[in-house]
Amino acid sequence: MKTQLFKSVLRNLLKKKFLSSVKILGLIAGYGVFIFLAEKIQYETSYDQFWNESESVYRVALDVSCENGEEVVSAKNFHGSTELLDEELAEVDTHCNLSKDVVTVFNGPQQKIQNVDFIWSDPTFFEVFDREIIDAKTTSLLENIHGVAISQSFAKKLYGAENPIGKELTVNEGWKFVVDAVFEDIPENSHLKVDVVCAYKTLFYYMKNFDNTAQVLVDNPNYQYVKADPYTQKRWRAPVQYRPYCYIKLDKGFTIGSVSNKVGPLLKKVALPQNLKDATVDFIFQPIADIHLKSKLDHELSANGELTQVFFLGIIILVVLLVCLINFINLNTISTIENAKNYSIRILNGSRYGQVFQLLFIESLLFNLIAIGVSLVLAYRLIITQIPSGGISSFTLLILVLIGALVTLVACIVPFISVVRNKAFSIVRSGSQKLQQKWTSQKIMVTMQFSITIILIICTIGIYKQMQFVNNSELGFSGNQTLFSFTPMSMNQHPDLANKLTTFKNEVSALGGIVSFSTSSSIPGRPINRLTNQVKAIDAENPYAASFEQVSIDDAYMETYSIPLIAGGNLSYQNDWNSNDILVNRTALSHMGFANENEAVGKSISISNNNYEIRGVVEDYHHVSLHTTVKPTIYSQNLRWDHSVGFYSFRLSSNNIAGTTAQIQSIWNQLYPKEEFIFSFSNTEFEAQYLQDQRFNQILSYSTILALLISCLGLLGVALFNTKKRVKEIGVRKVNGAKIQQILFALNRDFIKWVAIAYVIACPMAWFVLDNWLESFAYKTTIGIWIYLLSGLVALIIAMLTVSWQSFKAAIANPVESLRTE
Amino acid sequence: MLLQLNNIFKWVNSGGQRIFLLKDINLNVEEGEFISIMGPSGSGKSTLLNVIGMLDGFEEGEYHFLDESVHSLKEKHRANLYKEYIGFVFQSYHLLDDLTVKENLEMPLLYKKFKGSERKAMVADMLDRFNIVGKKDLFPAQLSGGQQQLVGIARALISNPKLILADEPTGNLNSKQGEEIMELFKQLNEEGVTIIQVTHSEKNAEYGSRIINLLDGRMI
Ligand SMILES: Nc1ncnc2c1ncn2[C@@H]1O[C@H](COP(=O)(O)OP(=O)(O)O)[C@@H](O)[C@H]1O
Ligand SMILES: [Mg+2]
Repeated sequence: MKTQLFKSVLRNLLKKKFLSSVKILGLIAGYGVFIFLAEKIQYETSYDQFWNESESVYRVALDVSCENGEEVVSAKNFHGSTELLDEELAEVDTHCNLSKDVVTVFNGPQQKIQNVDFIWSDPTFFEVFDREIIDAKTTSLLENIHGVAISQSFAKKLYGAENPIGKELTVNEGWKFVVDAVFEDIPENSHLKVDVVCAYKTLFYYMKNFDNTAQVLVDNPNYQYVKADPYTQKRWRAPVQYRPYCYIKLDKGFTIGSVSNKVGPLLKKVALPQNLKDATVDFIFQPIADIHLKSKLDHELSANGELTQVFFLGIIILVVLLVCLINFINLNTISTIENAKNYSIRILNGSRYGQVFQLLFIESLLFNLIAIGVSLVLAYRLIITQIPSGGISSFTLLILVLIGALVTLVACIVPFISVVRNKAFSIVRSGSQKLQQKWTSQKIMVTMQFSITIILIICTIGIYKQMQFVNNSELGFSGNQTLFSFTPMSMNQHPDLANKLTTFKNEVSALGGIVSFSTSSSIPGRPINRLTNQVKAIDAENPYAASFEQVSIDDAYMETYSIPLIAGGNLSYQNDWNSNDILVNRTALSHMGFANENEAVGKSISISNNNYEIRGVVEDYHHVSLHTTVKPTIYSQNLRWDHSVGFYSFRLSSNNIAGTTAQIQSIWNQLYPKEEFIFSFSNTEFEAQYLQDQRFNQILSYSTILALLISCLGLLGVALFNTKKRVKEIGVRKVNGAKIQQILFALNRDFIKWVAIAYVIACPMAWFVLDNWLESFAYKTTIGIWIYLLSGLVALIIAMLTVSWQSFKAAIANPVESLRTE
Repeated sequence: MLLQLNNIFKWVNSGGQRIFLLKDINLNVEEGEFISIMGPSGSGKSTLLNVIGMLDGFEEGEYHFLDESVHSLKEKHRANLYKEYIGFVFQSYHLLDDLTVKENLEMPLLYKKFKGSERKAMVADMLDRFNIVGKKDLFPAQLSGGQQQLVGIARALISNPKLILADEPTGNLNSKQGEEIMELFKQLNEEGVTIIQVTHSEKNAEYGSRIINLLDGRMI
């Protein structure tokens, strides 16, 4: 009996090759999208959960509200913050602070690695962020003043198969460290990316005792490290670029609530500087596992993910699954109707309904098993290329199996109830395979499918348009044919810094291919890390209400990036690269109380009690992506860089870029022999900011195409059945004089109606989704009505093409065939 | 002369073999004739009727309908020709299930550029003539076989064809219903409509003025 059932099912599948493959393809697409996106979501939400007791580790962020209403919530905090908490509270087990540094690591003269993930931290680093110590010279990590701990993969990169312990490495301007320990890599899914850890006390020791002229460390045997005192003002004074990221780990059994309640009274014990005393200072405790998706503070350690995007990914999963499910049920119902005769013959011959159900169930199960198998293979191949350390988790598998079971059941119950147990299901009465099926369920399902698809189309076009807008927006600067490199690290603090820079500038500027050369603390596309709220009119009591961004530039910066001056003059060349002249941008004007740009020129202002003169006003430009607005900005002339690294920018004339870069390289090599010249294009740097948006858009487009494809397949199946059902009618109409186009119209009219209804449902929903997504951009494109019209048209045309393929075949068929009496 | 078939051959190729469906058919039909086609099942009666009705083509021979040479006409012209002059009646009625009697009658008119008011008048006329006014809002499934065939014939007649082609019109009916249909045909014929019917029944064949016998696609 079982084998007969099985054979019957198989024969049926093979007989209806087209319908069967449409069903399978739809399921594969749906399950595939589910597996891939489920993994993606799990990856995004898995950040920083792998740490031992990750739920008791918190980052302590700083919330400062000034009297003037200005509030800055920074991911960074004062050194004193965690030290104070650790000192005072029993709840806090331990703490560590860390500061990211931009460094180049050298291994001998040959090898160097730029832009290393390097941090300064406390010896307690590994107590807060547990990592297995693979190998170590000592048990007291980060206590040796010359020692560093490096990650396993970094060790491999630097020393290959050799034993890294005891090896020497050189950092930036020549600081030499010894590898004391090798620790297990921090996985990709952490907001913390660390390859080298070095102690703060090492930093202070080297700063004090490194002879920059001779480039050697003059050891001081009498050096005593004095543990910092969190109650003194010293620990609460650093400007934001020198502040660390601060973490605490709670002792077992304590909750963060009891800690955060005590912050206010504790701060009273500290000799805070005046500006903090005048403000309301509070700490925000962020569970580290929340940082990646939920933290959107100023000065984040690394670019975080977007919770809304994860949310949207979830919606996409649901939507695509729904489309696939509807498709499958729909097509299953159709094939059941087509098989109705066989089922009724079985029942006439004594089969029970349960056995017919079994037949439907086996068929549905078979489809799902095949689809799950194939989609697992396909999704896995995609995952390993797209998601770091990706695989298919058992959680995904479990959900997949549950969904598969649900689909299997629903897809056989629906046709069973609507066809087999339907009153109209009676071949005995009508004597032939005549089934007055109510057509409503199919209509509703196809309409739903198309609604969803139209929503996806509208969103995809809308998002695409925003990305076009973002890419084509006037940024206010030009990064065309502009290269940038980091400033040479080996020159940090070096007394020759300005001299060499002048030589470099003169030689580079003399090259035929160079239009201009500039050095600055930031370039377009890179965040500005320096913020100040200590700007005031020269004779005023109080600073301006706003925080100003500060960039250090030279006289050629504005020219290099083609940023127009709207009033006054440019900075003038200075031998020592330093002056008290500043430029401000247009946005800064109103925050400084100037009525117009001309009024500002020549005025003096004070920044942190130093006086500066406004030379000129430049037009606003987008220093960072269109996600954020243009901030009031002050451009000052000096060589102060945010993390001991600035940027060289080169604007090239259009011809012979390769030749010019080779020439720059040789000048660089002469002046900075220890370092390689590595450059990138400024445009690329700016566009990199939209990488995440683009990836999201990509996922959305592919899902849309898939959903559209599945919807069309579903529609095709319905059209196929619809025309088949109407073959006789078409024949009758034709012998009664209907023309081909009249038949086509009659057949397509229904489908047009469905798509129209779907469209009406889809529009407001799409509007809602799109509106939400655009919220994350400070500068938005307008989503014109044409996007909605176009999307409707696209859906309609695609639906019509799909349906017409069938309709046309039916319309041109010879009625003699269809009307022949068997 | 209404139509003339000269040396008509129709065949299909199956497995490299030519299977003849019609062989050397010669037939003249005058206006006002009532012809019955008889022959065993599979002898080509329906095929011949379809050829006459221009629903199906043929491979060899000439077919003249009124003044037109059907064999050299384009598909579109042929369609126009049969739309104008020929009405079809089927064994299984072929009424549209989801249309009422009235709508079924109106359907052919929709394809023939009649105004709404004209259509109404013509349908009303037909309902009246066939005595089915009371059934105009019923669906085919609610009628008996004889009544369905009545509607089928009314539909075939509604645009005033010169020729009615009926393929076993009484095949699904009992003898009493069949007799009524035959009486109706006779009456229509007397009113001037040319009728060609396929039938298995000697008795029904007798209603016609001429009987054509087919065997294996050949007239005997
Ligand atoms: N298109 C076709 N292809 C192949 N065989 C056909 C085709 N049309 C009809 N036949 C065959 O030709 C023969 C005559 O058919 P038909 O005219 O329907 O017979 P009748 O109506 O006299 O019973 C039958 O054997 C039928 O199977
Ligand atoms: Mg026949």
